[in-house]
Amino acid sequence: MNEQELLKRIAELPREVRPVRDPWEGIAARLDDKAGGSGNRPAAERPAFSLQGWMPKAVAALAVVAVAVVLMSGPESVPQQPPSSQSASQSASLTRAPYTPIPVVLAGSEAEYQAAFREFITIGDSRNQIPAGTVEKIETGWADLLQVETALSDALAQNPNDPFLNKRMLELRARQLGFLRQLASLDHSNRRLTI
Amino acid sequence: MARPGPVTTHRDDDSELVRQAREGDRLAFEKLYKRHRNRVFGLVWRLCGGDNALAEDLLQESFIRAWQKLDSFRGESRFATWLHRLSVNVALSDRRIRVRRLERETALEGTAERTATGEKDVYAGQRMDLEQAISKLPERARTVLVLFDIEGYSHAEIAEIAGMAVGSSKAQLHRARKLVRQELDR
Repeated sequence: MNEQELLKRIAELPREVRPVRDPWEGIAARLDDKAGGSGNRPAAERPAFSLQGWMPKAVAALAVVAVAVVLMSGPESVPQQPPSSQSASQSASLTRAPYTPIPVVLAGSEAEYQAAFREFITIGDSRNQIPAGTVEKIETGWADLLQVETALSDALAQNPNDPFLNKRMLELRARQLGFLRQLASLDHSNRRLTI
Repeated sequence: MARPGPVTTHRDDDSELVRQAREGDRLAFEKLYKRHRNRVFGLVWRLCGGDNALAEDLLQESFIRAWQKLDSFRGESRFATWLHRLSVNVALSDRRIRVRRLERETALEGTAERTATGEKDVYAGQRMDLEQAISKLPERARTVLVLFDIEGYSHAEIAEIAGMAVGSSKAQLHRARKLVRQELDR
């Protein structure tokens, strides 16, 4: 088949397709819930300001700011020289933030992160061989990520299907993975499972 | 070269219904829904690769969004054009999330339930093959083919909507047509 024939057949496709199930009832129900078009409605029909609706947005905004701060701190905060086993394992074994269930959209990322965390591999006893400032950077960087994780988890618990929050969580997981992998790769020669 | 015309539509008499709906008249909005339902469904159904359940969700979300945003419709374009563009945005933004989930959760569950058009089965004969070939396209290639070849969008519009360069849109279209032809030639 050449391209002309293909375009001819495409042009013959119907633009209108009838759904098997008419979702109008679902739409109508949600119109009631949302009271859409409120700008042109009598004030009595408009939804009142709700603290319940406002709080998740505020939490989400805080989480976003926290993510931005951590992301802007950049990978340069991760040391470029091998850390000691104690420092690395200490980073890994820092108390993890409480984690609440998140939507299935994050399942793959979450599984990957958890696997990397479980398999987090670090090294012997060279903590004393690296500057104290570097150790502190590692620990502070990880603590910052955990802080963001906590904030995002809380926000997601309020709004589990919020696409913006889910995207931020995916980014955070990617960053945590990168952090762990960087630490693990700093010393390949003396690995052991820490969990 | 035969190319579909611009985004439909045939409804020039929506303005009064739109005015009423903007004032909160749900009955008027339901009439608008009935007028444009199949057109919007056809669009989102193809954009999501023929997934009936997902397309119904997107149809629903598009009209809810339209209801919520009616105040921002200034009447500078036809309602159908405005609704169409809004639906594309709903479908593309939604798919960014759902596609990843579907890729992980459903390892090709097999042939999806299909839809009827008018009095005829969409999947009768060659049309079925073509729709199936389109539904099998990779995500971005399908988006560009559906929007350009079927819906009549320009590459510049697609680039803006789908967040890609104009050159990428052209390349994806070329790729999509090639893949569809290969599929049909099998």
